[in-house]
Formats: sequence, structure tokens, C-alpha cells
Amino acid sequence: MLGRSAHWEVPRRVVVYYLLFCTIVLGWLLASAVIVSQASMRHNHEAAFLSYLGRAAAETTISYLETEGTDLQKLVERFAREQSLLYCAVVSPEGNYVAHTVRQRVGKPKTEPTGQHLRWGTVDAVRCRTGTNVFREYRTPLEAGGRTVGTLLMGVREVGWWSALRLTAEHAPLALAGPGLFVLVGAVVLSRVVRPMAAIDAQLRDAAIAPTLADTRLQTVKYRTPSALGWNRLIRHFEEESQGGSLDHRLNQALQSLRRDKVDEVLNSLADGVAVTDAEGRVTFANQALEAILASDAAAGSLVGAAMEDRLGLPAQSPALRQFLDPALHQRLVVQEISWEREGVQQTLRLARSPIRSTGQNHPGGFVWSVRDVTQQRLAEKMRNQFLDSATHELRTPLANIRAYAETLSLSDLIEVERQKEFCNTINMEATRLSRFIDDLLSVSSMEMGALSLTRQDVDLERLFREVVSKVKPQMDQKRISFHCVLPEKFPAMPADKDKLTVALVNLLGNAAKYTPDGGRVGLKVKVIDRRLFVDVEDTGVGISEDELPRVFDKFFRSADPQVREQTGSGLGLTLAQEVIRLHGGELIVESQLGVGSKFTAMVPLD
Amino acid sequence: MFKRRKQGAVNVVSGNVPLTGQHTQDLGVALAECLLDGQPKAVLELQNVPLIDSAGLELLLDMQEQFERRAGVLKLASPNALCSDILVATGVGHRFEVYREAKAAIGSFVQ
Repeated sequence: MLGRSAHWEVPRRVVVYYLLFCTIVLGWLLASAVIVSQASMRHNHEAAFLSYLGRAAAETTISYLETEGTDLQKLVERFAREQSLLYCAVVSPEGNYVAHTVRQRVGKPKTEPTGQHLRWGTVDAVRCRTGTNVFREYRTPLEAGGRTVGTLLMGVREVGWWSALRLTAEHAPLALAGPGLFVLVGAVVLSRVVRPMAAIDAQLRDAAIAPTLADTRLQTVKYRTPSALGWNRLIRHFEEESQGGSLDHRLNQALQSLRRDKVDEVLNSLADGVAVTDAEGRVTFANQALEAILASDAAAGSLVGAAMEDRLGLPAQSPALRQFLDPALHQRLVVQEISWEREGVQQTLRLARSPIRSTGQNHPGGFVWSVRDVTQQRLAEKMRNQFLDSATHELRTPLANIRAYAETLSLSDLIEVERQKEFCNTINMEATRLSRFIDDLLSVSSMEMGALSLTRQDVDLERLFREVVSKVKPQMDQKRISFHCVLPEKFPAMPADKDKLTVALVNLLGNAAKYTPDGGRVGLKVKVIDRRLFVDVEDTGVGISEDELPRVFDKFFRSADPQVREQTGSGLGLTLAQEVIRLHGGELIVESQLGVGSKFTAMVPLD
Repeated sequence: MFKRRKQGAVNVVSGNVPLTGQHTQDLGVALAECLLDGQPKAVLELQNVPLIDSAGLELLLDMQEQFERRAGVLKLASPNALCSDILVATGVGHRFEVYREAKAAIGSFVQ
């Protein structure tokens, strides 16, 4: 809220206040001078009068002795004239007026005035007030020959304020002229000093009452004071801002910033890595996904400034790098897949680089990169291809045999009965093989869909293991494999899916028999520890290399070892066995050494 | 306890203990190892996890946040009926892709 004097300009207010306070000071000094003058005059007058009183008393005493008091009346009248007294009198020791300037009072008894009593040695006085007048009655004894012959009285007016004021006024013009002149000079100087502030103040006042700031025209001021220079800089800054940054311009800047933030948020939410590089190939933006894929610490902004090709670690002569560096391809989309090693693990990255197309003429160029980790897709494709290879092989081989033997049987009439039986047996074996493969395939398919389920019932484990052994024993005997079977004396009851558990164990023992050379050894050891069934299947077969060991349970995985390749197999047996054990709440683990043998251990809880 | 294994490029973490306060550290360590895989992809197999309590749920949310911060995904697989109900009732399940089978969850990473 503005004060009452706020409508005045600043210099006017400052000068008025200055003069007001100076006037108060001068008035105060003047009043002090009057008070001091009055006190000084009273003191001087008192001293002079006491001196005169002493002389008058001596003269009166002498006259009294010489003339026996006959000239006292003339004497008191002279004293009254000389000192402009109110009255003057001589009082006898008996208390009667002997002489008085008011002759009617001569011979009458003295009247005692009332007031403040004062004393200086033998002289005393009474300070009296009658109306507005203040006077003093001085009294001094008249002594001759050691005795008092009377008292001399003198009534005199006190020095008043008006006397002091008159006395001060006589000297005031000279006393006040000097300070007054300086006050005026000070006002002029002050006015000049605050004038720049007045110019600024006027503009600020306009800004304060204008409806909007845009309606106010702020200008520089033509003064060289620091505040004026500061104001001028401020105005020039605002002018530059408004020239380069009108409201529209600033609004656009704000919108662009908002849009950029939004775009960053969107890009950072993508699962694919996205980067923007400038014309020199340096990264100017990388989203969180790309930081996670390429950067070791994944700290925000750790890729910014780096060359994209360097961060991808492309070998010097790699086709991908050649494509990315080829100037002929800078104007179109380039897609490459590269191998990317991260802490010893190979990954596959799909890179897509496209040039930034802008309608702006001064666009510096650059590229936008999209990076996707397609490792899992490529592994899935590889497995699918393996599946197709295996399935084709597993289906085609028995079918070819069946077809060949069937054709032979149907076309030839001269085949001996023994040969016909042999052919029929072969057809039967191949059909069984085909059937088993299709069963495995269906089981794995069910497993993949999550449809493979268990039908649990109490299983006689001893019978189950004898059945499993009986199924693989012929295969072992055929290869003259030494088979050692260690079973516990007593098996506990176990709720399990007998058929699927049998399939899993037959697969384990069948593999052991299949990949163990003639004359080798296979062991089956079963034990129960802490309500858990442990089944060890150990062989002295070809073994599994260390790098293939983690993949042996993968679907359709076949070892690259030629000794393994020469055996028929779908690559589904171990996958199925592991899934069956897992569904029983157990775990299947493998230990193996290439050329020495393998040991599969299935652990299944009994409860 | 919780174990981590790799299935292709996907980490599969499975456990056989309740996902409660006393076992969250185990799971936290196993999932934190997955975060070192660049853009992390992981499946938490809950088949043998009988129960999840508030500490476990908090850990799941915290880990999902960390996975998302690295543009990765954490998926849940084969929770039992009780765990499914807990995930649905608390709303935590809405923050995750939940699959009936771990293999389906792993397969879902093949886009």
C-alpha cells in the first residue's frame, strides 16, 4: 500500500524531509539559545544588583548617620530611578517604613511579602509572583557602630523570557543566517544527487500502476551515478531479451524443451537401444536401454561423446564396420547383426542405422541408431533349425528303411521265408523307432506347452527299477557292457508317475548304453537319504566336453563329437528326463569328462 | 534357497523356500547377478516357492524397478495358487508378466 506522501517524487520527498529535520534542529538550537540567554541574563543581573545593593546600603547608612535620616526619602527615590526599581524603602528596626518610594506608606508598618526565600550572606530576598509578573524583594541590613539602624528594601523585576527572547532576537539573524545558508546549499546538493533516482522512480511508478508490464516503456537515464549505470544495464538486458526473446520466442523455447523432455522420456521407456550420433559419429544421445546394452556401468550419459563404432567394438575389416563407414550408404538405412561379447558371454545385436532427415537447411546431419539384443531369438532359431534337421533325419531314416524293405517284400516273390522274417523285423524295429521318436516329440511338445502333467500314484520302486533294467539290459548285453546295479534292500513307497519316471530312467540308462563303447562299464546306484531318492547313472562312455555340458538338457541338442553323431538320437531324451524329474520336484545334474565318462544324478523327494 | 541358471540369453532364477523376509537376501543376490547382463532378461520361477510375504513383494517390486531402469524385464513363472492369489490381491502381479510355465516365460523373450 502506498503512503500519503508516496505520490511525491523521490527528490522532492527527500528534500522536504531534509528541510523538515533541519528546521527542527534549528528551532531546537534557537530554543536552547533562549534558555541559555535567560539563565545567563538572570545570573548577570543578580550579580550586578547585589553589588549595587551593597553600595546603596553603605550610602544609606552614611546618610542616616550624617542627617539623622532626613535625606532617606530622596535617597530611596534616586535608587529607584537609577535601577528602574518597582519600589525602594528603608525600614526602621521597629518595623516601620522610614522612607518609601510610595510616600503614603512612610510611617506605616512593613508588610511581609510571601514567596520563595533566597539568601546571599547578610542579604536575603523573597521571590514573589503577582499575576504574570515575577519580582524579587532584596533586603540588606543597615549597620552602624555594631548595631542595626534599619533595613534597605529594593523591589526589582526578574529577567523574563521575553527579555531573553528579545536579547536572542537581536543576534538571531547573524546566528541563523550561516546554518540556514548551509541547509539550503545541502538541499540543492541533495536534490542533484537523488535526481537519477527520480528518473528511475518515475518509470517504476509507471510500471506499478500500468495494467501490464508490456504497457510500460522503460528507458535508460542520462546520469553517471552507479545506480543509474546499473539501471541502464538492466534496461539494455531486458531490451536484448525482448528483441531475441519475444513472448512467442520464449514460448517456443519452453515448448521445445518440454517436447524434448517428453521425447527423452519416451525413448528411455523403450526396450530397444536408441542412440543419436552427430555427423562425426559421436553419440549425442543414448537411451537407458542402449546404456544397459553397451556401457559397462550403465551410468546415464556414459556413452555421450563416444564414437558409436568404437563402442560397438567392431573389428577393423568387419563387414558391418565397412558398411557403416561407407559414404555411399550414409543416406540410407543400414542393418547389421554383430556378435557382442560381454564378460565372456556372446550376444547378438541387431543394429539399424538411418540418417536423420530434417527439413531445416542448416541441419548438421547425423544418424539415429537402433540396437536390439536378439541373442535369445537367434538361439531359438538355431534350436528350431536343429529340430528340423533332427526331426527330418529321425523321420526320414526309419521311413526310408521301412519303404525299402516293404518295396522289396512286395516286388519280389522269390525271397526266402527267413529273409522275409528278417525284413519284417527290420520294418518293425524302424516303425518302433519312429513311434518312440514321435512319442518323445509329443511329450516334449506337451512339456513346452506346459501340458505335461503327472499322474501320481504309489509306486513300487523295486519293481520300477527291475522293469527299467530289463528294458536296457539287452542293449548292454549286445555291446558286452559290464552293468552294475546297486539297489537298496528295501524301497520306501513313493507317490510318482510310474510311466514317466520309467521313461526318464530308461532314457538315462539308454544313453549310457548308447554312448559307452563295447566292453565298457555302466553303473546304476540307487539310495535313499533323508526321504530323498538319489539315482546315479554312471558310464565309461565318450563323455561330454566342458563347453557342451551346460547344453546337454537343451531340446534337440546333439554333441558335435563324431562318436556321438554316429549314433542315432533325437536330442529329446535328456530334455524329457530333466522335465520329468523337475515335475516330481527333483533335480537332474550331470558331471562328465570328455573321453572318460559321464555321471547323471537324479534327486527326487519321496514326499 | 534361490539358484540362477542361464537358458540361452535368459536368466532363470528358481527357489524352493518361501519368499519371506529371511530369504529375500538370497533372491536379491541372485537377481542382482542378472542385472550384470547388460539389458537384463530374467524369469523368476516360483513353482516350489510356497509363500510370498510383504518383504518378498517389496523385493520383487524393487528388483522390477531396477530391471526397468536398465531397460530389462523380470517375469514371473509358475506361481502356486496361494502365491497367485497373493500377487493378484496385492496388485503386485499387475506389475509383472506372469506365466504358468517357466518355458513359456523364457519363450516370450523371443519377440
